[in-house]
Amino acid sequence: MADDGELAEATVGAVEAGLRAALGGRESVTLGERIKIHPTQTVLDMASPLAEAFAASDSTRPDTACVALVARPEQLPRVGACAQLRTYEHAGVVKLLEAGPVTWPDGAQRFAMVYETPAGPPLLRKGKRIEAMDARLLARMFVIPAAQVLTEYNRRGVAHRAIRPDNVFWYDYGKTRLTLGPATVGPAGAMQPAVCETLEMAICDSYGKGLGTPGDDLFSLGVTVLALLRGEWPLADLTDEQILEKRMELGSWDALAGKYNPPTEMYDLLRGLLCDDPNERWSLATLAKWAEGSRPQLPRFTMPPKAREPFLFEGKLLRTGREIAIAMGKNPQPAAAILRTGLLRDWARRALPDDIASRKLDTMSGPGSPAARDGDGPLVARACMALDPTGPLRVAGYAFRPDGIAAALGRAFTADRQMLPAIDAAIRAGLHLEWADAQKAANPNQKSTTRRINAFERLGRWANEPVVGAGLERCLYELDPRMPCLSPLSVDGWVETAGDLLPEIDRALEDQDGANRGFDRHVPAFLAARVSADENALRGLAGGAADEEARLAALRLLAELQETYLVGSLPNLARECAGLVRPTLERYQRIATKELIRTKAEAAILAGDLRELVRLVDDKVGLEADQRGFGAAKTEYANATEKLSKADLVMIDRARQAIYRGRESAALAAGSLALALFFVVLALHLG
Amino acid sequence: MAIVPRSSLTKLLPAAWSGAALIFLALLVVQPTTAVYLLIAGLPTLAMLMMDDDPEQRGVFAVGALNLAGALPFVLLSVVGNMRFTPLWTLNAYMWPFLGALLGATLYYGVPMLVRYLAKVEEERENRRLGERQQALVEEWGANVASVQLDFSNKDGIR
Repeated sequence: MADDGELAEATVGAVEAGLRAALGGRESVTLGERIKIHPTQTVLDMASPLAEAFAASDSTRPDTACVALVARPEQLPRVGACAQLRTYEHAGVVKLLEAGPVTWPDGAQRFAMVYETPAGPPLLRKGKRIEAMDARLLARMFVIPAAQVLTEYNRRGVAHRAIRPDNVFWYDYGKTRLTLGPATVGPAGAMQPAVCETLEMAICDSYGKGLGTPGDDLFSLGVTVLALLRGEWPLADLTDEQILEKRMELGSWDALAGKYNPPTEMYDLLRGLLCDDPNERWSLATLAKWAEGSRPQLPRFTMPPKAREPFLFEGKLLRTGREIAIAMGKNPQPAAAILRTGLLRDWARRALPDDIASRKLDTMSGPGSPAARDGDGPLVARACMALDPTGPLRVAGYAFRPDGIAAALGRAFTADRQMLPAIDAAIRAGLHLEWADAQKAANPNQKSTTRRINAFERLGRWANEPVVGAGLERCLYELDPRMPCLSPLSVDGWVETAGDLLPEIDRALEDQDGANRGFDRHVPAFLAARVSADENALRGLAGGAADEEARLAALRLLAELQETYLVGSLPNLARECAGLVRPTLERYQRIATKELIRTKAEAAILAGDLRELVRLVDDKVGLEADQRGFGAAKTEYANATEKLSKADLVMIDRARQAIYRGRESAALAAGSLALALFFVVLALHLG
Repeated sequence: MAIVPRSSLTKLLPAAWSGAALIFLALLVVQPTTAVYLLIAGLPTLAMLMMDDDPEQRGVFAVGALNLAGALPFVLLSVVGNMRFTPLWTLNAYMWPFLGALLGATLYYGVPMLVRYLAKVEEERENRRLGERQQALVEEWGANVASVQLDFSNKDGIR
């Protein structure tokens, strides 16, 4: 142990030395206007696999110790929850002071969440023991404030999903109150061990637990209270899998409490919170009544019905639908083979106490059924759903809840790409909708938000449409409006809005070579979700064989974003779009106008001003005037050519006319002169 | 001075020649020497009558009018003036009609040449202006302004 400690200290020391060098004399990075984070001062007590922890300071609270939890690369914190909780202050939970992206000393942007530092390390780490806490004291110091916090969280539409004994701290150095730790560090429930989770959540993958409900938090609260009363984690010596098996076999209450006899004051609370049936488990309202001193009704304990005979699968004898679903979900290929033989259907008819599952399995095995059509993955998923309707979707060895598919997709895109085909298959087969129906049937009292239902219905369209800007990436950004863009080109940045994306695209263009222009699928999907960009513009943005009209639409979109988000100079993007000005130049005919446009375009490219480029390209009035002028000039030129071509003929005609008129004039002149002479002579003679 | 329409002038020619012939015959009877003088003095007009290719015989008219104007004073002198004067034998009496005829011929051949020259100068100036305008259009709009867009929509009509 001592060696491990020395090694850890040495490692931390080396990392801190590196950070000091990267900071180059500065001691901190800033978040907003008032928070300073000190990357060289690690706070090991608050660090987790999801986030590193560093000392921080708030200029408006100089006496308050702060800790910055900085998301590790490839980890996606709950940004939306941060926005909901930032203004909330209660002694029952550590206060979130500020959250947002910061520029780390290595140049990358990372998401930081700054909390007030609790007074001391986590109260009860797994495998450690503390003095058992007094029941009355625990109720006053922890349970009642926690209940108030969860009620307020619920009002704000957020579940804590990180309630466990090692995320509880002393609120003050006088040890008068306990406080819940941070809730926003990673996807909901990602760090929760199986022992702290409801059965429905415990059987999910850690990144596929969905958004969570108050019921999930209340169960975790019950486990935490039990641990603090006992002074140790329940079932601390078992693995998650063993804990799950034991809880399914005995029920969570019996498995977790074991031989422990809780104090009378806490018995009702623990029985109410540690109930496996979500419809029977105490609600926030019931907990509030208990906190006020009344004795709410205890839940009825019913174990899931067991089959009359076990089902043999992969060498294990399984007796409940959930056990079979878990086993089949983890072994999809043998499961598919067994499903196709019809053995499971026959067993369900024979052994299960009700015929609901067997009827569903019956409908799946027909020749024209969706199950037969969609392949092995959806077949196993549907069978698991029939056997365990409240469980997660089980596809290709993964188990995730579709109501948290955004977090699962985020995890898949950042760290586990093998999960993508599983999610894709589930959405394409419409399993998410079937799952939602199954939840509704299993828990008729459970509320589903309209937004979530709408998003569910659109998921299939987003995933299946063969257009740019669709696909799983679109599902990701549509389902989580605060999800940052996960495009490789923004790998060092935190891109939450379309405005943030433009500088990243610009920077990426600088690095790309000419033959490899265009962006990955994340960029169009992100823009489609965030700014409802039209498909034509996205096609232009995707590069490749996009036509001129699509590329112009892309330029217009980027220029609009530059204007809307007040993005500064984008020289590389402007240079990339310069080619789009050329066809426009070719449309103009007047040489002076062309030269003027070329000069303006060059200036706009140098200034990185896409709006000016769009103005030049879209100047319809100028173009029409030019075309009118050109038409008139062509007509004038043609008329002149015609006149010149007929010049010889005209000359001959004019010569003929000249002779005729000249002779006529000569005759008239001669006649007139003769007449005048005649009269002169006549006058002289008479005179 | 109104210009006599070509058709009217042409119609008047036979009547004019007939009238002139009658006057000459009358003069031949009354004053034979004067008639002979007039015949000799009018030789340029007769020559022009044979040479002139103008259907309206404006050459004859131009030469004849001034030729006659030159002879007329001497004719009048011999007819109503001093009867002793006989222009037939007076050299001076031939000079003026011939000079008149020469002037008429000069007018008849010179004025068209002058008018044609002036027209040619005007035409060349117009052509130069058109050429310069075309050059200016090319400089302003580029060579495309000179392109001719052929219309093949009615190509069946092309043979």
